[in-house]
Formats: sequence, structure tokens, C-alpha cells
Amino acid sequence: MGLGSSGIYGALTCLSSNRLRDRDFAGTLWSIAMPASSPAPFALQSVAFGYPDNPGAIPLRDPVSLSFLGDQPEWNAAGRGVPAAFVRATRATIRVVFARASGQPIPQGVWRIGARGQSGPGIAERELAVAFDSAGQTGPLEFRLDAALPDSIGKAALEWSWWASDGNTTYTLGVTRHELLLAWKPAIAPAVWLSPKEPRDGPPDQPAANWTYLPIMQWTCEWAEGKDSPEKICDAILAGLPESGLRYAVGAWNVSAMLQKHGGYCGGWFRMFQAMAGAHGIMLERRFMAVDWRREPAEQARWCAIVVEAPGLNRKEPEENASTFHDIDERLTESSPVERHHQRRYRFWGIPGKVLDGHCINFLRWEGRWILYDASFGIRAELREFSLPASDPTHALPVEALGDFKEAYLDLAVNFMLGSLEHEGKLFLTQHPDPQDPGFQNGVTRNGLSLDTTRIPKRDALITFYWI
Amino acid sequence: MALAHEHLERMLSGLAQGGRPYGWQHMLGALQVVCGERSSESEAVLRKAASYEGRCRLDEAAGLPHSMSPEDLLRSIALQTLGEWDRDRHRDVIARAAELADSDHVAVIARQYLA
Repeated sequence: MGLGSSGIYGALTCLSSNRLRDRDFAGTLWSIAMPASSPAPFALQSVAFGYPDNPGAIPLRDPVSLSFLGDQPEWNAAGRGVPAAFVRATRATIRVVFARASGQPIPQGVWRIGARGQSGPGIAERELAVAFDSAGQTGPLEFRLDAALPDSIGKAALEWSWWASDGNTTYTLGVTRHELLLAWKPAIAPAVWLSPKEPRDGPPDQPAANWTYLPIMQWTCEWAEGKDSPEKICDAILAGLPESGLRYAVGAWNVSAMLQKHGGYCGGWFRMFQAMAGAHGIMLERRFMAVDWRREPAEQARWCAIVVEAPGLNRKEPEENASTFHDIDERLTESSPVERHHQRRYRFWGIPGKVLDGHCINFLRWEGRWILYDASFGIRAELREFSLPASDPTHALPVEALGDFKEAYLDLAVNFMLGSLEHEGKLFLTQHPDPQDPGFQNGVTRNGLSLDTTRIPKRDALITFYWI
Repeated sequence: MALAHEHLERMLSGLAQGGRPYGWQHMLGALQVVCGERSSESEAVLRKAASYEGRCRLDEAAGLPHSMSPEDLLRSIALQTLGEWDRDRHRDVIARAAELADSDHVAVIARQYLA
């Protein structure tokens, strides 16, 4: 039995001693504690967790500096203290550097060193020869936790009371505190969620490592604490998103830009949600459903835009100037009343005959079902008889080919489909400002007719999207 | 027609007219006209748009595109139009648009014209 046993160490420390003497180093009991008479000959200089190829460690990247937290030890005596991440239940290894205490004789010989964990695993004691370089420091010495980290997603706040013994005297080396973020599974490759222009490589010594951004791991470990399935974890992340402070409709379309600008549009959000689930080893699909602006006879078009009234994450109203809409809130007939509303709504525009804008969403395949996550607007939908459309920018798919996608999601998320349509003998034309017009720059887009999505029948390819 | 090209050129150069920034809807208006009729003038400005490396200065209050940045959507529309008009002649800028874009959808869309 060694001094790593917390019960024995606890008994010793309650004597308020900072120097402990064992009478029988080779034996099984540390039986006598003596009051301190000299300070420890060396002290903790740094503790590293996320160094290259440390099993179970997940490199964390700072979204502002873009450097990796593990590029230097996460804890040092100068006051640095940043989190590290591991896969849950890892019996982690760490690297520790000690510094010789000034005014003390150079410590020599074989030492036994360990740490008692106050609120979780401690550090298993090790017997090792300690040598100090000309700067008075040891090289990085590897230690291992004396037990595995908790076996669930969350945050572990560890406090380690370090000790060292030369066989005659046991010294206390002080207490270090560390925050470890525990992921469900090893992170997925960042290439899955990164945009083409985002920084891609892992830490300098392990460029192929699967890393994630620090805030992503911090948020998701908190929101999904204790969750134990991809569905529960994704649900918890979706529910937690408002706490991130990130907003919808900020000019950012990839993960790093979103973290720097504190929000983004859906083209960033579906990558962000994928990165958040990916930090826990969960693979989500992402799809861009692009508006299909089809020209019809007599200047009609269906559809020019999808229209969303919801403000989006952490917004009180849509971040788009108000415009005048002509809504039909009931099934379109020759006599359906048109209601005029001047208000803020998002319009996701198409362009005739080509792929332009649209909405971006995620999908989880779990237990034989597809679950749709719309992180931008906080919507979750379980889909039946749905197959994830292959990426194809050349053919638009009608919603009736997508199982209950329309009822389960589209009707909920997209309030209106905006078109250029004739009604009661009048053409409600959707028209962007005309560049030939001298007043072009003061011009605003005219909205045609906006039909309540729920009232549009799911047949005859009335609603189609490109899926990419 | 020429006015649409002028406006689009101004947008690409980051200039506003009379100090007021263009909005996303103005870019859409100009693109619809420029992409709507094939001409050497349209091809020239769309080639510039496809290989655009600048940053559009748009009035954000008027709304922005949702799925990708205005620059990527500009590249995307330019490459689709040029690809439909003459993919062989414009292969260089179609490839360049895919290379410059931060949205991988632009590369997916470009692929059909580069195959």
C-alpha cells in the first residue's frame, strides 16, 4: 500500500503537518507523522493534459487566438489554469514538471510522488529518479490518474494535493485544481464540420488529431451532462443553445466566424450544431434545402422565397427590415382574402432557374428514424417514411417524396411560401429593385403573394427544393 | 441593361452609390438582370463575380443571405450562369469560384459544370 491511498493521507494531513516522516518506507504503513521542519525541496511547475498523443485527450482550440490550449501545460505555477478535455471514463495520464526550490539543496535520488484527489481521482504514486536541469526544472514526468474519470458527459473539477517522499521524509507540494471536460466519445474529424476556409490542422505535433473549439466542449459538457445516447445528447444541445449567447442572423457562415462574432446565419448554424454533436463523437448529416424558383405562365413564379416569422436564436425579432406581405392564411381559392401585413420576416430567396439561397438543417439517424434538428430556430422534428435526399444541385425534389417532412417540419418552420401568383384577377408579383430604375438604390423588394405553408397541399410538386 | 452591370461592378468594387450601401435585395435585382440575358458585357462582369476575392459591403439591416455569405452566393450564381452559357469557355473561372468559396456547396454546384 502506498501513500496514494486517500484514507491514510487524509489521516496524516489532519495533523496539520506539511512534513511527514515515514518510519517504514518499505513497509505497508505510513505510521508516524512529524511536524514540518523544512520546506519541500521542489515544487510543482506545470501540469499538462492535452499533449500530443495522450490517449483519450481531445485537443481544444481557442476560437480567438486559434492556438491550442495544450500547446503549453494547462496548469502552471505562474497562474495559468485552463480546461482540458478527455473522453469519459479515461484513466488519463498527465505530464508534470517540478522546479527546484531556491535555497534548498539539489534533490537527488529516488522519490515517490503522487497526489490525493479531493473530489475525484487522484494521481497514482510513482517512484522515479528526479533530475533537475541547469534552469532548476525536471523534464516532463508522466503520471497516471489512480482511477478512471467519471463515466459520463460532464465537467470534473479535480483538486489534487501533491506529496513527495524521499524515503525518509514526506513533503507536501501544494494543491492544484483542474477542470476536465468529459466527452461522450472521441470527437469526430473536424473536417466533417469545418468550412473549406477554416483552420483545419490539429496541434503542431499532431495535425491529424480530432480537435474541437473550447467553448463548444464547455457548453455541450454542461448542457448534455449525464446524457447517454446520441438522441438525448442532441436534444440537450438543442435545448441548451440559447445559453451559448450565440444569435441567429449575424454575418457569419462558419464555426470559427460564429464563435468570434457570437452568432451566424443558418449556413453557419448547421455546421455549429454538427460540431457540437461531433465533440461527443456523434455524426450528424447536414443539408442545404435551396429554394426552387420556378417560372410559370403569365409571369407567375412558385416559389421565390421561403418566409420565416420566427426571430431565430437569441433574437426578439427578425434581423431584416420590415416589408409588406400579402398573406393568404387559408387554402388558396379564387375568393381567399388577402391580408396585408407590414412586418419583419426573414426571406430566404431563390433565383429563377438556379440554386441561390435556402435553409440549412441537420439530421440524426437514430434507432431507425431520422430526427431533424434546426439549430437556427430551435426546432426538432421526428420524420417518418423519410429518406435523406442525396446531394443534388441539378434536380429539385417535391416535398411529397419526403415522407412527412412537410407536416412534421416545413409547416412548423416555414410560415409562408412566397410566390408571384395571380389572385382575384390581379398578379401579385415578387420583384427585386430594378437596376434600370433611377431610384434603384432606394428601392425595396416587392413581395408577391405569401401562402400559409400549412394550407398548401402536399401534391403535384407544388413545393420543391434542391437538396445539397 | 448597362445600368445593372454598372451597379454590379460597383458592388464588386465595394463602392456605394451616393454613400449609401447597397442591400442584398439590390444585388439580387442586379443579378437577375445580368444573368437573365447573355451578352459579352454580362459574361465579363460575371467572370469578375465568379473570381471575386473581395468582401461585399452590404447594408445588413436589409437582410443577408442565410445559407452562405453574399460573396459565395455571388460566385455561385455567376458560375451557374456562365456554366449554362458556355462551360468550356468559362471553365477557368468556374474552377476558381469553387476554389475561393468558403461554402462547399459552391464546389458541389461547380462540379456539374467541370465534369
